[in-house]
Amino acid sequence: MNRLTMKWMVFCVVLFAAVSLQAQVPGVESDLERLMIRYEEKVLQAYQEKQTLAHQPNAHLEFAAFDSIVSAYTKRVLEIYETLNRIKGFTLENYRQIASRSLIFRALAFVENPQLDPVKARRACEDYRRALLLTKSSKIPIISQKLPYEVWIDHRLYTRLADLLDERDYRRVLLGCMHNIKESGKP
Amino acid sequence: MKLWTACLASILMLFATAASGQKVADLYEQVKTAYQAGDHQKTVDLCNQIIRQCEQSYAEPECRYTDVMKNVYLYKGFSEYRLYTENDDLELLTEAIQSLQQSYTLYGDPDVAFNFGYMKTLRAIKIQQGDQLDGLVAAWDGILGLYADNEWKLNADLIKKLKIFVKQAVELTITPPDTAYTTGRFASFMVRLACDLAEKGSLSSEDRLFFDVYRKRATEDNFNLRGNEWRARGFAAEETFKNTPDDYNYRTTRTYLELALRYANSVERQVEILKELTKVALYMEQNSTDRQSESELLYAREKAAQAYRLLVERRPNISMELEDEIKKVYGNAIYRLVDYYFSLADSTDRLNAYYKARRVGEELLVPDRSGGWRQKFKWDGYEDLYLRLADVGYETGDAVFAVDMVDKAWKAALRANRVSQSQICSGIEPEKASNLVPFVDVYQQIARRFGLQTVLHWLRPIRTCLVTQANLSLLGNQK
Repeated sequence: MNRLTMKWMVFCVVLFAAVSLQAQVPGVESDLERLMIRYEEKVLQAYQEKQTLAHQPNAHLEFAAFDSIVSAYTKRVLEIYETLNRIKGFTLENYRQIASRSLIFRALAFVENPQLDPVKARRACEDYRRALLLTKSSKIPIISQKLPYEVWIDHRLYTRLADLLDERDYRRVLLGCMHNIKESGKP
Repeated sequence: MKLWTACLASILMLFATAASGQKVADLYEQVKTAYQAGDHQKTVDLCNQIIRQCEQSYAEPECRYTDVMKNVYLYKGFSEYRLYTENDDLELLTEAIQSLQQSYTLYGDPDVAFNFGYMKTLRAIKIQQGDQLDGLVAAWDGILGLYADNEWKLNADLIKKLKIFVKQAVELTITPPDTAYTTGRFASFMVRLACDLAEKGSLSSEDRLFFDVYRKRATEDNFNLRGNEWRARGFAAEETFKNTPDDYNYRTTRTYLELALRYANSVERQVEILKELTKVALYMEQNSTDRQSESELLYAREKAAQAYRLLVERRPNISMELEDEIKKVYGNAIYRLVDYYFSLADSTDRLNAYYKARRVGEELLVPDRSGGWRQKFKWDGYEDLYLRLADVGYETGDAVFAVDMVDKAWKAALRANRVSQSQICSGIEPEKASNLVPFVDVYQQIARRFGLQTVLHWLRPIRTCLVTQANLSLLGNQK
């Protein structure tokens, strides 16, 4: 085997390794993105399932359990979002929207219980603010965008988060959060 | 006196110092050894000693090491759980939960979250508080964490945990029936989530069946996990009862099915369970030595009547097959009760027994257009009820009723055997002929008693033909 062939072989091996490494990173990203989408679906699924109990008396313990599940999946969506942010140094609009929608669903789940828990209301405000901050660069605000899926509650179809917020946040807690920010000037 | 007290105090102090003299590092080593040796009480004692010592003197480095302290709580928790399984002392289970939660606070191991979630649910089941759902939430959080730790792939351990989770969710939902305050919707949702996750892995056929069965139970009858689980348990108990029809199995089956009925959502499900209850009571009456015939039959009649009422009120929701079955069990329940009272006439007040039988039978009768009575619906075996009621009419001397019933019994028997009256003497199957002979015999008997000569004239050739055909069958069998 002459030296030239050896050099070629080494070059090919190095090239192959470099290409494989390059290929691996997007692989992780796409895996995480898929998982993020799947977990957002679970957030929505748990949120919608909770709505079926809306007319049930004394379901407060189940409401709380559903809130925990919505929260558990939202936490995982946010973890994936943060990880993607760390991998790239920036995040795509799509990732921000997924994280933002999950946060809004969690906020809604927290504020629409028959008895409003002040701790949960505070957390809902934080989620809502964070959701709006995440997507503040969007041309259309996240709550006014058309949802990529259908949300059915009480035989009614919702295609935008704004409609959901208008209907489901009947105490206007989340609206109040933004009002307080404007008044105090703090984000 | 003061001197003595001071001496005693110093001695006690000395003992205390000696006792706490061991270093946490040494104690920790002893804990590991005791835990590995399966000495649970010693593990718990040593862990408690470490925790006390660390509370008093935080200066020891091990008290500040997360890896040491999370293990101390972990060993303590698992040992307390082992002790609980040996002694069945709920306080130990509570201690175990607290220890594992403490370990989880120090170090968020999802396996620990699953374990304390499991223990919390176990505790809720033991203390019969079906509304304590936080154990399920914690266990699910643990499962999601383990799934992520395993690169979002399912392994055998995770599948095992999912199965444990599903079983606990179901048990919590139905335990105990009177204090299960929840709607069961949350548990149903959790079971479906677990099945969704399990389906992402490659499952053995046994595991696949397990998750398929529980998904069905969590979904059917408008996601009625509680009702569906009682129904499944009721059907399983019914199988056992049919193999061993004793009082215990009968009571168990009835209890489970009654719970299934209580928690049924849809009318179809209610009707199905009522039908099953009727069948169980009828089976008990027929096959068990522990039977109390009258009460089983009255119970069967009551349940069947309820099912029929629902059928009449909500017919569009009920399938044709189920409708036929309900009619059959209702008819059968009435027939058996009529038969029971009829047979009582041998031993008790004759007339009263016959009238009782008639009153029961009349539950299924409505006036027909020719001034007589007909059954509300046709069911498989309705000719027998007519025949028995004809017997009742015969015994009570009610000619109109007896003749009306026997005539309807005869026509129903012809219909059931798919035979036309004109065919009889031109040759019918021998088996059908033997089926028809008892009807024509009763008809003749009634006609004789009430002097209906023309009827006798009409029946004579029919009977002769039937007997000839039936004898042919008998001869064929003998050959």
